[in-house]
Amino acid sequence: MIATTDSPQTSVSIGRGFLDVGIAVFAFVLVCAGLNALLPFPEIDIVSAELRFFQEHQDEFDTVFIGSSRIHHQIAPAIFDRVMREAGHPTRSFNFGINGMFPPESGYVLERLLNEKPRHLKWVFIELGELETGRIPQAEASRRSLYWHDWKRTSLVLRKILDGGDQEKARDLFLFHSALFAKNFTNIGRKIDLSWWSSHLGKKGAPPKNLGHDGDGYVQQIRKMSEAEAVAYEAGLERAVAQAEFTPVTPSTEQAYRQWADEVRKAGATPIFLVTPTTAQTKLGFRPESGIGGAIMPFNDVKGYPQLYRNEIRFDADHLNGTGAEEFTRLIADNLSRLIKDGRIQ
Amino acid sequence: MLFVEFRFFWFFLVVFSVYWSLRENRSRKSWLLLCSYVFYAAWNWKFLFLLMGSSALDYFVGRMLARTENPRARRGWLMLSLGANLGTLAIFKYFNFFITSAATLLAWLGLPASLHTLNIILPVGISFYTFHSMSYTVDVYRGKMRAVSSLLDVAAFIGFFPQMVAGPIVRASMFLPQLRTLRKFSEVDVRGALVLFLTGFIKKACIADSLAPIVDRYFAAPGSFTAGSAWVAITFYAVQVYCDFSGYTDMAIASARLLGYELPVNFRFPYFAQSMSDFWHRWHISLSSWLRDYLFIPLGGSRGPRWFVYRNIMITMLLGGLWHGAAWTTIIWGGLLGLALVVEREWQYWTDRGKQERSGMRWLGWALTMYWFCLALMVFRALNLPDALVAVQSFVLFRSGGAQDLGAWMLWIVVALGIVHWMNARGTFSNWWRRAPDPVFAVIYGCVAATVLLFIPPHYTPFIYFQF
Repeated sequence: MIATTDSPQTSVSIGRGFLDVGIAVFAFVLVCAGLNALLPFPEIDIVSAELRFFQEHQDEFDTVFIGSSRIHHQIAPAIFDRVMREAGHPTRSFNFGINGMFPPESGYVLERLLNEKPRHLKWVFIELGELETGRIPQAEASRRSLYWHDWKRTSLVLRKILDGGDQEKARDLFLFHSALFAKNFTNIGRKIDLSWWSSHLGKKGAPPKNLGHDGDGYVQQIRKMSEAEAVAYEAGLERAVAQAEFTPVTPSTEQAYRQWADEVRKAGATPIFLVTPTTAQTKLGFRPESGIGGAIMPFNDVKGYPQLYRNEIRFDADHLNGTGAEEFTRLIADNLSRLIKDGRIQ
Repeated sequence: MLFVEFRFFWFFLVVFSVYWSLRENRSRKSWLLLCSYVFYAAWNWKFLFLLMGSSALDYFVGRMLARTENPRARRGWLMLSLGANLGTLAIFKYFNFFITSAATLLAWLGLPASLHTLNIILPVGISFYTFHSMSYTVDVYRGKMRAVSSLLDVAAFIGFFPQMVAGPIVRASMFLPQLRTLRKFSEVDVRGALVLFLTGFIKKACIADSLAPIVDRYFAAPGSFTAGSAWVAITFYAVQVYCDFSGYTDMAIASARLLGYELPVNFRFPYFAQSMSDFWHRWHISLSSWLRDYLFIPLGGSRGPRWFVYRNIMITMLLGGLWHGAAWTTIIWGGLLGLALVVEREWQYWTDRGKQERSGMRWLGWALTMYWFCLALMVFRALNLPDALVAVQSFVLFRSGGAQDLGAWMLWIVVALGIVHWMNARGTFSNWWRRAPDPVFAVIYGCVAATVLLFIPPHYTPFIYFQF
């Protein structure tokens, strides 16, 4: 309560003052939300161009892979389609992997993609990983780190941060993501999108730069590991195998995947969760009671898939090179065919 | 913490709410002081001790001045205050500049010397709060005000967060009496303060920060741009520096006003000035009047022979330039503007003043003032003296070897802003928002604030005057 001379008139004016502040805040929030809904999708490097491409060709695809560089550089849709065709389940797939696109950003992009209502979508492969809550110093001032901070995504991230142990780190991250949410909600600096949109009215946007040789989103990495890198890789792998254990994803991550799985199903497709062959041998999974359903293909299992861990087909500890990617893609297609054949997936 | 950041909004909300909920004046001042120190510590807590030391010393000097009538002792106490404040300024702001300048001079004289510079961080706002602080001891010494018995008052005055880091430069005689009385919320012009804050925010975040990248591009390599670009860049810089600084001042005055305190006006449409002396009555008024009262007049002011007055003007302007930054470019800037004041006085001496009242002369006066100000600003903004020479050559002689073009079409932005500014000077926007009923004003304010955010760049640019 504001201290003034305590006349009844002043009390009334204080009450009215609060009401006026409430009205101003309401108007502010309303206009922000309205502008947020009306403004064109921001021009985010790679993401926007790829979304536009997908929008233009959405009805051509029935299978989509979504995730980070571990999808982008490791799954070749052309090979996947060939193997599936040979197995009697013809597909037309698209690799929507983008470097550095981890959950929840990948979930946001998935939602945008599903909002386009692709008519023939059957399978959606989602890279499985923990919600990314950290700060990436090189990217934290970028628009890429900002655009996906809607309430749905931010609340998931904040929940995960609050569930974490390190309080000091949690405070910093909480403030960081809250500030990004506020910035995104209040449309700070979005005039740039208006300028971009008005200058491109009636023009076709530039084609995406990273669709790869076949124009299906896959870009192969050719390099092989050096001898020294191979030695370090083998040692790291050995350590990881020794420490391997089953770890259910955190509750907030689980909630995120539940949301995305539901959305995929609503769009008439089937979600399949994919753990790529990284040296981290943590067997990620959902708790049985999570109710998420959907198949999980855990390829980060050196005992189950030793062929994916030979150093000659690795680009680095996290990625396969072109040869490895071909082998990996074939394995995914084989696994899917088997699941269909066994009736474990429809 | 910048006034245009979200965290300042939350900070101010807490300051405001707690401040007005306290009933005792002493509690309010203590709260303000605490918040001011938190505000300053958000930048660098270590320099808080410097600010506290400056406040404590000047409070002590004030008390000593009140105790003695002995002129020698009084002068001694004043010298202690001036020496400490100017000494701090000299060490933190000018030490490296003087050392490197001395080394360059010695090398030029054929006496190379290896002089060591210090790795010194310039404390934010030091130029402003030392001037606040000195105004107190000087005014007590001159008998213009009585020494304050409360250290809390002196510390709250020097550290008052809205004006601490970039002004306006507030005189002790203006602010300390305000601290003595309990402010009443019912007397606060809340609507006026809110509009002023939003105006300042628009000036800084929407206009100045949007122009900054274009100006930075030119001044990073003036030699690679066309002569036309020099005109575009300097016009933009003139708008940027005005919007940046007057925007900060507007937000500072508005924040103070919401807490019940009045700060002095700092800008009065300076770009409509018709002479250089008129300009200094409109631009950074709190500094120009400070320099007038505490430097120009003690030097002898306008009394005495013409050359003596001109000497005083030049000393004042050169030191004013130096105040803006430890660099030869800022000193030359001050010198150029001082020269304009001298020429103007000489012109007035030799010509009939009545002629200047004619409309044509007023326009000519405006054009010449703006031209000279932009020329001086070119030197001020340049990164170094060779760059300043290149930029000035482009601007004055229309000669440049560069081929890059900033695009003269962009000047329409300045024309549009100029029209809005002119309308504002004529009072077009001054009162209609006062007549609207409260709920309507609230709705309009919320809508405008939300829309304004669209037009600010995604990243904040620090206030230009923070570096002074």
